Order: sequence, then C-alpha cells, then structure tokens
Amino acid sequence: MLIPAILPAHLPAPGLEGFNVGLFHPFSEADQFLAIAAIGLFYGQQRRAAVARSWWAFPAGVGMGTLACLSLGRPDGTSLLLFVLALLAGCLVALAPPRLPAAGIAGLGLLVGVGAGLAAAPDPGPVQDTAVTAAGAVVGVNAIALYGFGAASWACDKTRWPWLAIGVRVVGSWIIAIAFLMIALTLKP
Amino acid sequence: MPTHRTFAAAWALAVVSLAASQALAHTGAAAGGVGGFVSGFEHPIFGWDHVVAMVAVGLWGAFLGAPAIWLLPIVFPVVMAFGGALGIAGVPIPAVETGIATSSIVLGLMIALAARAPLWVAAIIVGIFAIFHGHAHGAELPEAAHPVAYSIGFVLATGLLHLCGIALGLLVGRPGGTLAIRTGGAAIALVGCGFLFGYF
Repeated sequence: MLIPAILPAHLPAPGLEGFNVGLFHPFSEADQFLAIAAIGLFYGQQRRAAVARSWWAFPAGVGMGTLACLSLGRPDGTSLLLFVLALLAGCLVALAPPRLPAAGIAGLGLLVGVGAGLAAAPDPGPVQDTAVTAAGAVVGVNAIALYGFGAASWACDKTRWPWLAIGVRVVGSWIIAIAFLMIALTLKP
Repeated sequence: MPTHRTFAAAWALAVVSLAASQALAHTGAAAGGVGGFVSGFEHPIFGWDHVVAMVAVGLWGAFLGAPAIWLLPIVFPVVMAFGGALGIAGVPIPAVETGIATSSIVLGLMIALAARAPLWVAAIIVGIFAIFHGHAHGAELPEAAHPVAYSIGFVLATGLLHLCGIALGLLVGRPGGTLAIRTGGAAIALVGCGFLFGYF
C-alpha cells in the first residue's frame, strides 16, 4: 500500500488473477483500508455481547455495497465518504466509550460496510470475471476487518498488559489524523 | 541489573539527539519535491526540531503518568492533523518555524522543571504546538507525489517518536531516572534555543 505502483484496481480480470486483484484491492487503497481497519479495531474494543448482536452488520453492508456498485455504478464521493467514516470510527477507537449499544455498533458497521463494498467492487465487465473479482474484493474487505478485530480484541481482552489497549487507542488517533488530512486534501479548492 | 545499561542507552540517545547538524525537514518543493511514504516518514525523523519536540511530548506524558502518558500522544496527532489541514488549505500561520522551535523549549522546560501541570493544561500546551508541527507537514502535502502515503509516513514517524519519548520517560521509576529525564528535558530546551536563535 505504501509503495506506489500501477494498480489495475477496478478492472475485473479472469480466473484466479481476478480473485487476487479483488482480494488485494482494499489493502492498496488508503480510503478503504483506513475505514475498514478502523471499524475492525472498533469492533474489537466492544463487549462480547454487543459484538455477538452486531457483527453481522459489516459483512451485510459489504454485500449490499458491492451489489449496489455492480448494479448502479459507483457514486461520486465514495472515497470522501470512506475517509469521513474512517474519521468517525477512528474517533470512537481513540475515545473508547464504554458500553455502546449494539444497535449503534451495528449501524456504524453497516455504513462502513456499504462504503467499503461500493469502493472495492470492480467496474462492469464480463459477468464471470466481474463475479470472481468481486468475490475476491469481498473476501479482502472482510479480511482487513477481521485482522483489525482480532488485533484489538487480543490487545484489549487477551493480554495482561493494559498498555496494549492504550496502543489501540493511539492507533485510532493516527487513523483520525490521516483521514482528516485526506479529507482536507480532497476538499482543497 | 539493567539499570546502568538503561542509563547508558538513555545518555547515548541524548548525545545522539544533541549531535544534530542541520534541520533538513522543510526542503519541500525547492529541493526537488517530496514523494511518498519514505519521504513522509523521514520528514519528522530528519528534522531535529521535530524530533526533540516529539520525544518531549512522550517524555512529558510519561513523566506526568497516567492518563497523560497516553492522552498526550493521542491529542498531538489529532491536532497536528488540524494544523496540517490548515497547511493544505494554504491558511498562513505566522512564524511556524519559531513555533516549532519554541515547542522544544517549552516542553523541554516543563520536563526539566518537573512541572506537573493539570491534564487539561498539558493537553492545551501540546495541542497548540501540534498545530505548528502539523502546518509544517501539511504545507508540503499537496506537492507530494503520493499524498496518502506521505501522510501515513509522517503520522507514523510522529507516533514512533512519541513512543521513544515514553520509553525514555519510563526511566522515572528507576534510581536516578527522574534526574536523567529532567536533564534530558533541559537538553531538549537547549536544542530548541539553538533552533530558535539560528545556531542549528
């Protein structure tokens, strides 16, 4: 992601190459990666009971966003939307408010999922290639979220070092900073 | 016992930090433009005026203890981004370099004098100086070949410098650690004076 290269990001490709293109696309786009990583970290900070009631929202949103993009096209401003959602999720990660309601967690997860699905889905092309690339994208998006969830969950619950949970909040502040800068750059006249 | 080795490492780092030659941070477009992640990562690292201030934030936070030890490294990048946004938007902030140099002086003195400011005061002081640092980074961002990677680079570098300061600040629990930290703070303030008066 940090090494600039030419990416055939949105073009569907045949076969396994297409799946790989879709899979790695969210890893290589900062707007998607930030928002998805932030929501994963956010989920990882939450209580298990709340996560059990709200975990479905993000993958459901990814599916909805992907289908919407494939059917109706990608709306303008998707990247800006994702940076705004990354900023919001980053704020929640940094602040780590206790005992959030499951409905609120699900709502944010759904929003980020829809945005990620819209951004990660491939452009229209041959049906089979598009389907394979889209499948890879869905897997990639959910993989990032799972990594973030796992890292935050481990840091907050599974270790005896409380400073790791603080480290998650610091990472949240970094996400805020990067997202804020990207929003400013996007809106720069 | 690791105490003496810890001291040696801390003093070595202090000496290295003080052996700054030229602040190369803000070469920007005049030196051929800025690039991506590496360029952004290097921007605070090779700008000693940034380095000493970032380490001082972590050091002061560790010295103040919880919750400042994590709150200050959270406040700084967030407010820094706001300053960066001002730089991106072309909003002029007067005397940015003076503000950056002054941040080292003030934060260094806070540490040297063992100033135990209330949390909100510490956050405001850190936040004010974060705007100057952010503006300096942000002003170069639109010229970057890869602004996203550049942003990630300098935000990460800033956070890691804070961690260095926190790690050094944990010496406060060691014998002689408080003296070492306060001496480090004085050194940071002196370096800031050097930048302010043009010796570096």
